[in-house]
Amino acid sequence: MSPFLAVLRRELRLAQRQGSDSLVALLFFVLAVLIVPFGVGPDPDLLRTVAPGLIWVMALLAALLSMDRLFLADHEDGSLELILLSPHPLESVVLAKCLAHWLTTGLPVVVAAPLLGLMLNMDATSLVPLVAALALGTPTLTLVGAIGAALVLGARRGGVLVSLLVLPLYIPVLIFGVAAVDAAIHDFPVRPHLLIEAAILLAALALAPWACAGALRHAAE
Amino acid sequence: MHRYANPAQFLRLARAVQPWAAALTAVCLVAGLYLGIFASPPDYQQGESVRIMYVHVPAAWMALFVYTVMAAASFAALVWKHPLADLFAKAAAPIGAGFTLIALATGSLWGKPMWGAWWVWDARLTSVLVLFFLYLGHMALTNAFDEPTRGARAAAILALVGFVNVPIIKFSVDWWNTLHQPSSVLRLDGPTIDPSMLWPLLLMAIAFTGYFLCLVILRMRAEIAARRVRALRFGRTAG
Amino acid sequence: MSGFDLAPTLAAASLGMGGYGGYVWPAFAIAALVLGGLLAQSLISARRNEAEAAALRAERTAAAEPPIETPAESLAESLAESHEADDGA
Repeated sequence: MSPFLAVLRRELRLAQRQGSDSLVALLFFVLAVLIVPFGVGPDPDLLRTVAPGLIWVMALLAALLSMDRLFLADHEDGSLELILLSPHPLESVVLAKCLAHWLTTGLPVVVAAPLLGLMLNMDATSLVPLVAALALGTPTLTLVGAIGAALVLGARRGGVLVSLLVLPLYIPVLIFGVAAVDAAIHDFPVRPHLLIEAAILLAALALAPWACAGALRHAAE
Repeated sequence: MHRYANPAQFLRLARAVQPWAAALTAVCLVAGLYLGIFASPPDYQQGESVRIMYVHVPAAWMALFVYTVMAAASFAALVWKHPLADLFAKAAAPIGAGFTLIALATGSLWGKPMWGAWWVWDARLTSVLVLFFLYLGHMALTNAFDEPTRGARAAAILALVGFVNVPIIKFSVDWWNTLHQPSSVLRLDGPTIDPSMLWPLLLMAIAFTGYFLCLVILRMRAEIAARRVRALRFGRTAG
Repeated sequence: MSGFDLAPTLAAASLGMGGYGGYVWPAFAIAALVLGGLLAQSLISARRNEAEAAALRAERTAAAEPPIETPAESLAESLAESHEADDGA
């Protein structure tokens, strides 16, 4: 079995046994979105206007919530050193861990988003671009967040620090994600926004594992 | 380049450079302020408020310049493990954050009479705000570790990641919204700004660069001394 | 340099800045405050750290070395220290 699949299986099995972590991220996402109407009022038009941005921002925060745990357990119990010592490229291990993280926290958010969109009075036609943009954007969130998670290993207050480092880097993903949904609402073409979102994902896919692996090597020194 | 990897060598160079940089800064600052505040004409549209430009624009240039140099130093620190490059990045970050803060605050003070609001979510303002947070993140990460080298290396990777991201952020924010006046000095067809305004602007830019040089040398000296103290203390407890 | 009216214009010199004084002067003041604050903080920490390093080194030389040393020895020691500082850092 290739190291990529081995790590992926290990991560998924760990997530399945521990269960709570991915569930908590999803619950946080749902709860955070649903608490907003209590703050801004139940006006359906207002909720429809803010819904895309709201869902995106909360998806961002939900991705951050579990981010700092990505490498922490491996760092603490020494598995990270073993992974570093193994002859397999660290980048592929990082990629496998990111994929597992996205499957357990990003994917549930993507699945839950249309339901929340309906509750916030979004049109059914704009739900498809919302899901598509989230499906293209949330993996980028995981990949960029993984760099932050690797950088703060061994730092004081690591969890809060990850948010401070990574949130500014999330802005492009957020802008184009929301722009795609807004374009659908106003009958503009959605495709360019989705293509840019996909381009950002490809760039992150190419560069993030590399930066992440560099950070992990320094962390283990 | 590695000649100056030795702190003693660097300190000798720094002591030689510092007075000259300080003198250059003082001369350009006085000349730039005089020309900017008294001897340059008011703008035909913006009146006297255009004088804010003489701190705002050089500060914004410095904000970008310092981040660029920091990214270059971080690259040197990661590739050649140059010890002074780490020190430089650590010393430069707070200064860059200071210039960014100046650019934001003066931009806000300029925006109020011109646009009628203290803050508008226009593209360039917003990207500078993001740059400010990148600086703060860099500083926080540098100081978050008990081991200074570990913090420096992590911050170096962050600076490079941020540097790759800055154009993407800029592009996305441009897409998002824009009503700022287009850049009028750095253009291929020559500056569109009158020489009587360009001179104080350039003098202030030189003054800010010189000031940055002085501060960065000072902060690097402080950091070298701090690490020496650390090493001596460590030697004393170990011995 | 031909575009200058080197005699200070009255409007600017009268501090009011044509009604924009409330915006122009605070802008300069904020810049001075931030840059001055950075300078003060850098100066203080440089002075303090360098004094502390000198004190620690003097303490160590007093304890371990004979009081008289040749210039070559002191140079060698300062170089060794700077390398040490590298390794320790």
